[in-house]
Amino acid sequence: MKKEQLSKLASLENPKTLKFLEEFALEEKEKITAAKSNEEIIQSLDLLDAIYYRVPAIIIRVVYHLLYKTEPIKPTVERTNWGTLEGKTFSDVQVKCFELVRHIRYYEIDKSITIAFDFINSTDKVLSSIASKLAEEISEYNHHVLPKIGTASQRKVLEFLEKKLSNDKSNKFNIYFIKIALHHILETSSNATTMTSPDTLTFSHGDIVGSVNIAEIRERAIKIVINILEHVESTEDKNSIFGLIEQACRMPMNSPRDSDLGKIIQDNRVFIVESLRNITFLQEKIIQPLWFCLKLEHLMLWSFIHIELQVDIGKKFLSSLYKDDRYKLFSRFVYDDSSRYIKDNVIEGMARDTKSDIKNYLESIAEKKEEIIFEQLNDIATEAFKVDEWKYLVFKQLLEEMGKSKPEVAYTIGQSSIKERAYLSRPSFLSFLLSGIRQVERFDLWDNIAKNIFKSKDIEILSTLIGSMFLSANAEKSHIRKKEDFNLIFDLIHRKNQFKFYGKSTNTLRHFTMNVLKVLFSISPKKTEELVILEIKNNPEYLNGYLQTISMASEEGGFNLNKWTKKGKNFLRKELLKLNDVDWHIQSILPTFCNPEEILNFFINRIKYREKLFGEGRYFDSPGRFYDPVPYHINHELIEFTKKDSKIAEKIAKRISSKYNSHSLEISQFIKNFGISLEEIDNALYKKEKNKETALKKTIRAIYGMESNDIDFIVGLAARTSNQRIFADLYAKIASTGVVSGEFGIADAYRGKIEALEKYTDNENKNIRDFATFSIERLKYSEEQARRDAEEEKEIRRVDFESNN
Amino acid sequence: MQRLKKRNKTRAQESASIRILEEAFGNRGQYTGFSATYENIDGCLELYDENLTPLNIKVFCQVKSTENDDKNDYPFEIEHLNYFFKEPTPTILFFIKVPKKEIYYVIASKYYISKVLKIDPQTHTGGTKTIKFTEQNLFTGDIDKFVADYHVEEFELTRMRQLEASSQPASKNEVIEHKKVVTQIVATEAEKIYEIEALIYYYFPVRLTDIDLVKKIADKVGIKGSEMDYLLQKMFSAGLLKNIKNLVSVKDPKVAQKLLDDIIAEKGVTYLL
Repeated sequence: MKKEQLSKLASLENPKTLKFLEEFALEEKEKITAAKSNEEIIQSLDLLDAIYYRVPAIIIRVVYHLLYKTEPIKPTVERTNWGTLEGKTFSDVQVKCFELVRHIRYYEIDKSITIAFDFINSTDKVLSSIASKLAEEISEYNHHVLPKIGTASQRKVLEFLEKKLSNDKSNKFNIYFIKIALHHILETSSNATTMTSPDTLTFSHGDIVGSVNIAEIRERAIKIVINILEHVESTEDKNSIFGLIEQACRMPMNSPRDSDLGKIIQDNRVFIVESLRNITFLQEKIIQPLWFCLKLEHLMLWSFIHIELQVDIGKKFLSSLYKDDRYKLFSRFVYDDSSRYIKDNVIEGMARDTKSDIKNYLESIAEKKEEIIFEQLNDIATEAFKVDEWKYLVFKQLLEEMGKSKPEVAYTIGQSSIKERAYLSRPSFLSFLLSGIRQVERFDLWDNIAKNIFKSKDIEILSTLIGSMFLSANAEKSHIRKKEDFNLIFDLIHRKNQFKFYGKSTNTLRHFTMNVLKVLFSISPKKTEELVILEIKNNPEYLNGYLQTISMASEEGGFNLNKWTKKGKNFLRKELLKLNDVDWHIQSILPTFCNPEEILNFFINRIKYREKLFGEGRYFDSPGRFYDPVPYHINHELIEFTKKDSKIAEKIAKRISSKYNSHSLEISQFIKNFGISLEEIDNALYKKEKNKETALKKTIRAIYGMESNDIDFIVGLAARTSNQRIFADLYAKIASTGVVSGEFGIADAYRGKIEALEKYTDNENKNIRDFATFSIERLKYSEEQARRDAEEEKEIRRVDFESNN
Repeated sequence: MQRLKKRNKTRAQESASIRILEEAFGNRGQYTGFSATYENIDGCLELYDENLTPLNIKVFCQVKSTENDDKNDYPFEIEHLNYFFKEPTPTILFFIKVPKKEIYYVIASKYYISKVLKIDPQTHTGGTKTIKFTEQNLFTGDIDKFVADYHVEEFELTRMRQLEASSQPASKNEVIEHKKVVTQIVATEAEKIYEIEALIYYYFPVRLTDIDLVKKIADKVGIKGSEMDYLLQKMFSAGLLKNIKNLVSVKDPKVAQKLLDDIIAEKGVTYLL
């Protein structure tokens, strides 16, 4: 039985049909149990899907059996002349199961929640994403569902979570599920889409109504969030769950603050802040990590003080935070500076001033022991990677300033952090301290630290050293030492002397190395060019990254490719051939070291390189990353540069073949994307070829797509032949519609072409008249077919809509 | 829930009725009275299982009482019932006969208010609606039965199931009107025409070029190809069928659905197989 007919039976009300559907579902259940292939299972599930609301209990039993109790069935394998083909996988079966569960989620709500919970962390990304969608659909306030079942679904989810949390004392929470489910339960709006006519989808959106029930649901959800925040161990999970607190504090978008919903949320906010206070402070001392307190500060600033609602609550909490000395210091140097947007209601400790905060701290260190300074700075650095890195901007400035104004102290701190492998020794911090030391030309201290770094043989700490060279040179180019620094980078790239113990470069080290090379290039181009080439050869897998750096540096004048030797330029051209895609940045460097003909040759070589890859069976480097010899988007400057060669059309004409193959397709794409005139190419071919029909065939191969204003050009070509096969080729170019819109888009596009061709039906040239008639006949037939298909499609939608509404 | 200002009422009778309620539920129900300022909702009842573990069910209640043991009904304010209708979960209306200590209740869900009491919140805004309490509404002391009755999720999910399954079928009048049109055209062959309509709806999309399918329909109706052609022509000219080139569809799919329902009710599903 067909799915469409089953779905019609499901819409009937008589008991005979309902009994039949139940028996039918049980038969399909048996078939699934006995199935030997995934195709058979999916076929049965598809049929059950058509009658889901009549047999939800049977469906959930089937799904449970497949998801929890069935051993995966291997896909069927079929050997064909084109290779081995694989059938449906068991993962396809699981995905289909989820589709069914999504449909019956309100009928079998408990089991649906369990399934979403169990599969949301699946290693199969497709399953995990579909389980998360299920969790979302169960927990969200749906505009259509609310009047039918109220908040039953949300209450079921809460009941499920409360039970899980009370039974499991291990503090291993299913954070992903909790986050998705509670995010939707704490939403203040409901959405829905409705088909209001066969062609209209209406989207409804609005705030939910604040009621005793909503108050109870939100309170229960918030209690779960606070409970998890208090007990969760992983920083990532804690950070993730904190988003729910921010959401719970958010006032509704479309309801006034004094509406029922607004009042409920204000009550929630009071409860939340009190609960946060309980888990953050113990006898007025902070017991939560500093990064967490930074989030609390942000919450109070934005959700209370900035929106001028329950301001006193926010201010009171902030005062408590600033009373803690450790947090007070941390918050001077790590922050997002949101406080400066708050004009009124400023409290002590809230405002920051980068210059004076740095100055005050540097002045205060004279009275402190170096161990204390190290501990304080490292304490701040330890919170990194839990806070967005950009919030550490002032801290990095502090380290750099310390290097500059107190190089001796900075030296001691640097040595301690290397010795203890402290957080402070990470490239994002120590580089700044060392850069400060270089900027005041205390190379004696820097060299001493470098010696210790070499002793450590730790490639990450080594990156800090190279990073400091780059940072100091960035501040002022003269901070690079021509001889010593060049030798150091030379040894690094050759892995000689002190560097022979280091393995492959890390991303950070490669990035810093290339940037130091960029500065060295301006001092000694030829020698540096050799180092760049060697660096690329040493790490061929990071070719794209290197070329990107060269491209960007070249735009800034860092690597002036004009100054490269012939050998260096050839090396670059050869390497560029290997890139899957020649992106915008890389296109922009081509004119700096290639003439227009070399650019044409470069793309022709890429086309040949692709053919070579295909010959070796290498279609994709990795899934979805195929080799594209001629990019779709071409940099405007590259187009203009290439067109400077007045004979470019003639040069391309020489490369065009009369055969239809991937080579001619790519060349035609080059012509189109570079905007080379087809007329000029046609003229060049006409002059070049003795056989005029061959010239015509080649011109046709040069046409990549078809725009309606090219019809005149095509008709012009038809004037030169009466060959019906060439007519057919030319017609194919005309019949291509490109992108159309509207239900009759294709038919209307054909109609437009017919109208454009009609003026040629009485042309004095017989070939043109014949071609116009030839094309119009075919286009009319295609138009009629396309219009009928669209009308039929519309009628099918009408019957379907009217049956179901 | 939005609350309405409370009017004066006999305080003694009210406290007596609440006491009866608290006694009846014992330690399996914790009653919390709301502020006396509000009239549409008197309090909430939190329920516990046998082991006194919370069931996470909070029942919002309106409690009415009488001193007259023979009284079996109570006029509830429509304004209040409208508020209960807007609530996502049902409110319980308790009716307590104080001298006999008998408790009656109804679950004022959306369904009960709109379908049983037949109140349309859009049009009914004032006055009262008298609810009769019978033996069926008597609270017998069986708290598990009470919980099962109130089990909001199951209760309302059942409604949802019924609502989705019968997504606004054609009304009887629509079908009668349709049949009048058909009998005016071909009085003697009306039954065959109903069948053809139902089957075209069932097998849709039907194309006249699909000779096998057209023959299958004719066979089920029990007519020959020529008669089928004749009836199709009649149906087209009467506007019962539409066509786009070869694609045939019924003018009113809802009516065709009901015709199919009636045919299956009579002949069974095997008729289609």
